[in-house]
Amino acid sequence: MLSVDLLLSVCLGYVAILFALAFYVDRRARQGHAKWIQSPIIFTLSISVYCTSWTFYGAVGSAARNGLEFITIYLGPTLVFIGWWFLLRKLVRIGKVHRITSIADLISSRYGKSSSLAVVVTLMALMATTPYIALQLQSVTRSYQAIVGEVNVTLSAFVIAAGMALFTILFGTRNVDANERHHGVVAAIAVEAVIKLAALLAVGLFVVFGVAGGVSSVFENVDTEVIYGAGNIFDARWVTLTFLSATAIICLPRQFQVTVVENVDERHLATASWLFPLYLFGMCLFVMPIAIAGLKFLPEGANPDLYVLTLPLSLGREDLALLAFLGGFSSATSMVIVAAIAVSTMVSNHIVVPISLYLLHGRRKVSGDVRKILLTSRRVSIAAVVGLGFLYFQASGGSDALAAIGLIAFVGVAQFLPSLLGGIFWRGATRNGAMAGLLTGFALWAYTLFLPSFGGSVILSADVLANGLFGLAALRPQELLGLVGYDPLVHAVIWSLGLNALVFMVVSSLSEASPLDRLQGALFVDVFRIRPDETTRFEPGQANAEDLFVLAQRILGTEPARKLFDSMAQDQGLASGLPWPTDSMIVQLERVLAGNVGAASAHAMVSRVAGRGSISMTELIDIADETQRLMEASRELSNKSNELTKISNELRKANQQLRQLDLQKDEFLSQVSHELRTPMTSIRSFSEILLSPETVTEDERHRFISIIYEESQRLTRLLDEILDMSRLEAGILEMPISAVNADDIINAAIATLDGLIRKKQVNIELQSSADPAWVLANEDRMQQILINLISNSIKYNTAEQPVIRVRSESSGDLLFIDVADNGGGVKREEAAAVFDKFSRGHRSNLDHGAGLGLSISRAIARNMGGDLTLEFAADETSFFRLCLSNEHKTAKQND
Amino acid sequence: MSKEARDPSRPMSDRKTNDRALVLLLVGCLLLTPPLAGIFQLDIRFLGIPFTGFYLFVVWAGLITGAAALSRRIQEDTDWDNPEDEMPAETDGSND
Repeated sequence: MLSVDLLLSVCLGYVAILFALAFYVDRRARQGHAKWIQSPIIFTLSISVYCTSWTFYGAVGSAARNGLEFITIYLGPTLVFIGWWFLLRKLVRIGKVHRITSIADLISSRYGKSSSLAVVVTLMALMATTPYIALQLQSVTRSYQAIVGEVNVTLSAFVIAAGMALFTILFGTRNVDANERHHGVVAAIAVEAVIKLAALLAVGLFVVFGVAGGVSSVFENVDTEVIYGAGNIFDARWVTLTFLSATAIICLPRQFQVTVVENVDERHLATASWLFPLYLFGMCLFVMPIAIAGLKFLPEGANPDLYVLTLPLSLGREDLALLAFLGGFSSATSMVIVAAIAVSTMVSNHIVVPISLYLLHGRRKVSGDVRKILLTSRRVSIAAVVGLGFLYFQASGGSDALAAIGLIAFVGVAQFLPSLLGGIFWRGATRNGAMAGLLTGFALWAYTLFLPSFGGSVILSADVLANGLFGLAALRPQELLGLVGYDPLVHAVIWSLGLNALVFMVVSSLSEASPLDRLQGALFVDVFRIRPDETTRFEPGQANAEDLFVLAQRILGTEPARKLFDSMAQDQGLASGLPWPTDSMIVQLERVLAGNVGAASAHAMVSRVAGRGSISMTELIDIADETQRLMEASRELSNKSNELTKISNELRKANQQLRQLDLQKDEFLSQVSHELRTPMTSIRSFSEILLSPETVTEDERHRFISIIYEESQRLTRLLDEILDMSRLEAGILEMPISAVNADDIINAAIATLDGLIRKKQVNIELQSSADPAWVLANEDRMQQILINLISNSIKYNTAEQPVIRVRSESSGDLLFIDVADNGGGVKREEAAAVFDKFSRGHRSNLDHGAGLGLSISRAIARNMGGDLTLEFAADETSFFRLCLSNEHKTAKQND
Repeated sequence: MSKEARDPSRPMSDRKTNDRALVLLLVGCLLLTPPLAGIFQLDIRFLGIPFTGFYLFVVWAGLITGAAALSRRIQEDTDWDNPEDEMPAETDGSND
């Protein structure tokens, strides 16, 4: 017989090791060392809190009573994990994106961050968890009792409860952020998971090979009914249990906590998808043999729920019994610890925080730190949750009714399923639908399963159970509306879950979703299509960055808040100071806060500080990604319109130029026609006179004909000039350039004008530089320019003794040929217009030139790479200067 | 897994993996629940073990093996930064 002292010291030693491990891992993780704690294997082991003492002891008990049926409790989770790709992955992603802290938070956050929904889910979770915790206390005290005999049940249960609460408070509330892993807790749970599996396997191996003597001999002479249970094993109860356990692995608060909230990497799910079923497989492998051996070797009245412990004990293997006790202890403690963390987070975030928010309403500048309040409230909640379990255990007096509580709790938390699945796969699900479904399911669960489980001692009397409420047979809790012939559990599932889902769907489709409800619905259902940083919301109102900072400080603590705001300011490109309270910044802040206090509370706090009221439908319009698309399209449009503006500006400018050119052309044409008309008029009129012979004398005829001749000559000259002009301007006049001797050309030009010079008795003075000046020019065209310049000087000269000076002079690379006269020159104010087409100076009345000569000359000079300008000497007399490029080298070679 | 490592035929194989995950789940649901499971409720022994128990554990082990193979496949194939390029079928996974 194991002594009390030994058992106690082993137990205390084990607990001390767990505390030390948790403490050590927590410290290492804080220093950033314990990376292994974030491995998929540890993740999988932490999911194994599913296997409570109800599994450890209860599975064998169930197998002894109902045969293979116990396996359904592990097949459901197996199917869920094999199908992780479709449901768990989405849950984990949503949990990560929206910083979900609990299943109550998920449901409330999905349905428009409704705080009333969060409260309902929290209370339901609390109701389902409390008896479950009591069950764990019971199994530990009973196993203790089984080993040492009579003990003080109340005291031992209290010591265990207090120890668990202490552990949870110590390692479960290190940080406010519920999203952060509780490394110490996880490490302890992982060790406990290994212990419970090892213990069960050890007992199983001992029974099969040590006692029975081989696999086949275990089942020898065993009645089929023992293994298959009475009747058909694959019946409605089988399906119901599989379904319930599948639901429980998602909806149990502690499972949600370890699978979704504490998940650090989606990839871990891939490993857990087969490793967790394998763990369950190992847990179940020897359940049936242990049950059979228990039935064979233990006396008739032995409690099957303790076979795992009593079998080795009665067969004299106290070491195995001790291991089995530690396994059961581990199963119980890990469940209580995680459940306490999960439920206390809900209670604290959804009940305590909103109440304190309400109490603190209007008193913004509270002294102290909300962070402290949060931690305190979470610690008190843990103590309260475990304490409730203890009270429940005390009140139920450790009755056998507790044994059924596992499945009852499963049905209770299964009520979350319609709202949960509807929330993440159906956009149309609304808050009202979820609320109505939950309340309906909850009420029916309580009426058909939970309350009847007390056998008429709580609320529902034995009379009501037998004859229905108010004596109405239709209201019999376990045969509601005459639904008979079903197992009470199946009956309760059909009613509660069936009506829950039905009401949820009907009310959802009939009720209108609030804008926030609709937005959250879109974000949840399409979580894989929306990038987290794209989600914006469209609430008006001015937020004050300072107020937001104060809020964050109060919840996160000063240093983390400062870091968060600094990083947000940096993201906005600010060097220092607070970030702008943009929509995305507020959304980000709200998410971080939601990780601490839950979505509904965070939303309420931020909304109050940011001065955001309700949102109107038009502002929401649609989900975030659609707006993103719109913004992109409008940006593109504005880019295009900018381009168009630029092009149209250029076009306008070009058009203006064209119009000006058109005007110039019109002017030119009218001038040309005017110039052509004058000689044509005189030719016509003199021809008319000549056509009437009787009035014209021979002298007159001769004079008229010579006028006609001169006029037609002038006309030809004019047309030649216009032709030249247009060719020059179009750049198609052929003008071969070569090195020519400037002096020769000047002389030739003067020689050409010899007749005119004699007639007008003009004195030409030539001043040539000493060296022969060679220039690059076209000989004929250069001569044309000089003839034009000299003839102009002759024609328009009004002096008594006309003198024309032609001088050439070299200056650097250029040769200047100046033509000056003493005949009045050009006035300064006329200088600019002298080269215009059809312009004539003030002396134009002396001759009927067309006014194209200078214009053409200049165009030719420019074409030859030179220029023709009007210059003014020091005494204000004007002269024309032809400027051409010198060509020394070529000249010398040509010599 | 880097994006560069994905060859052009990948999306096809992604879809295949996705389909296999669904098939494995459905096969598991069908084999472990009535009416199909009822076929295997036989009053015989296999290696001294009641046949139905043997059947259930074999199916269970088969599902675990399949899930392990798929998990390896999915981990290799999935671009974990952008898993949305694969559309998960909308199944709740908890039905049976």
